[in-house]
Amino acid sequence: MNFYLPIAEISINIYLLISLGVGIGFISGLFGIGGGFITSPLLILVGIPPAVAVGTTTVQVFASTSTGVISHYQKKNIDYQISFTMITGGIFGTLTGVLLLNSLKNIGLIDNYLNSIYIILLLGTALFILYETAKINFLHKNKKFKLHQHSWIHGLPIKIKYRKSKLYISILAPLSIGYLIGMLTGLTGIGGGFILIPCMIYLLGMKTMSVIGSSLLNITVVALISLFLQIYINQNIDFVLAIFLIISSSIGAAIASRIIDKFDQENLKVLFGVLLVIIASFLIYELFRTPVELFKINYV
Amino acid sequence: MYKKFIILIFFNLIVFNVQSANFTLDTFNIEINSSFLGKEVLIFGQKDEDKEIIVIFEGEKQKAKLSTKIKNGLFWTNNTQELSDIPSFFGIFTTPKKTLNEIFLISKITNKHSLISNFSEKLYQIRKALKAKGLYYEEELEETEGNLFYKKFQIPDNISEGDIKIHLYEVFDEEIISSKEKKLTIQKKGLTSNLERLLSEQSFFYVFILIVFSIAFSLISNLIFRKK
Repeated sequence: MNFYLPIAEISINIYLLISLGVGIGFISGLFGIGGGFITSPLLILVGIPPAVAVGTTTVQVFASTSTGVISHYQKKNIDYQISFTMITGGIFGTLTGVLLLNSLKNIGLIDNYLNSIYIILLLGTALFILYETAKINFLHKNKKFKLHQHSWIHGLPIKIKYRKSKLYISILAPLSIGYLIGMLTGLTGIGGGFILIPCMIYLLGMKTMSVIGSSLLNITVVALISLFLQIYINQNIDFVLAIFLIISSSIGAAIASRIIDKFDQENLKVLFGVLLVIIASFLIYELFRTPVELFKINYV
Repeated sequence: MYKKFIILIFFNLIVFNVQSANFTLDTFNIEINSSFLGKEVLIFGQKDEDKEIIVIFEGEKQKAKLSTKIKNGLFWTNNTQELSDIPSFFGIFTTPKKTLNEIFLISKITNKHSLISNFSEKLYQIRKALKAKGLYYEEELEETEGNLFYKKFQIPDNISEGDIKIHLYEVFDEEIISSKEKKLTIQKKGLTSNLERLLSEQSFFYVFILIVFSIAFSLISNLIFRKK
């Protein structure tokens, strides 16, 4: 059974779309991620135009993070001061990302560049996860690690106090991180939690307790801004596709939350790393394989 | 099915003027709605036995981008050029079978339809790209009973909204003897049309509905699937 997507202007098999959404939700729920960086490449792989895939993924990211913010707000787990510093950077980053996406779309290089960015992000994250798991389990099995280590970040100027996180660091650090994540959101549609959380813990030295809530607030607000910018600049959000994704991914996430306790966390991490490598391999194959059609036309 | 359109042909012959070639379609309106998967269109008509028929379907001209895949080292990259006046759909149906090279000899036709106006590499690439999307046809009309013709073809689901002009040329010795023009209207209807209008005219409201739905559904699913 096929369904016509009015903005993507193609019809897609409804069962494929639902399976995709449930699968993405399941993976997100199982591995505790927003799922944006899997959603966009998978939508592109099933034939959704890249610009529409990016815009629509932003809605899914917003939907999957917004309720988390409410829950962390109730638990008072959010460092508003550092969140708003990152959001300020995120606003400019998102604008840069959306304009960059628009330029790539206009010069017709969107699929090449997006594929390359996704490959770098997916492989980078997979390697990081697999290395960290190997480090903890095999390389330094009995060593203790300090989460907060001073680096060049702490030597940057314009330092201010972030009371909730008990940090005295340069405002430039969270601003730059926010800018980078915002740019990725605008350009690729991803929330960027898988980069943001390690940055907040390892680079800024934030406490784990407030990291999740603060990162969720940052991702939700940046995704919201990105939504408006995508609509005004690129007009690339497909309502029907977004609704299908939100509903099916919520169901997938709920199924995952029921069975997550049955899995060993370390095995899950390895599985996640392998999954990212598989998705990246498909995208690499797309970049290298001889195209079926040498000429492609898109109406403006 | 075959019998159905043969009957249709005879039925329509009553309406046709037998002096010159004429044609009709089984539909002149196509609606794009949420269950739109493309639409099969049947063209049928009558002609003089000695004359040749060329039917050209030409959609509204639009701006487009043509991407050509080029191998740069190991990677395939796009070389993109902006184009204007590219028809949203183009089909050439002839009887007896005519190649594009033969049609190029009839200047009155090629002058009128820019996509087949010359032999250039650029137009060849555009035609190939349109064909890959199911938006370009170059086929022979089926003949029956000596002076009747018909053809079924598919309008794909990626067709844009707008009119497709249908030109029938009756040709003898590479000269146009008579011509007819009709149009096929393609319109977005229902949810599809409303959503597109909402996106272009009230973008803020479009995003607002999505945001409300996102939050509401996330909250509801959290409540339903929450672990006890």
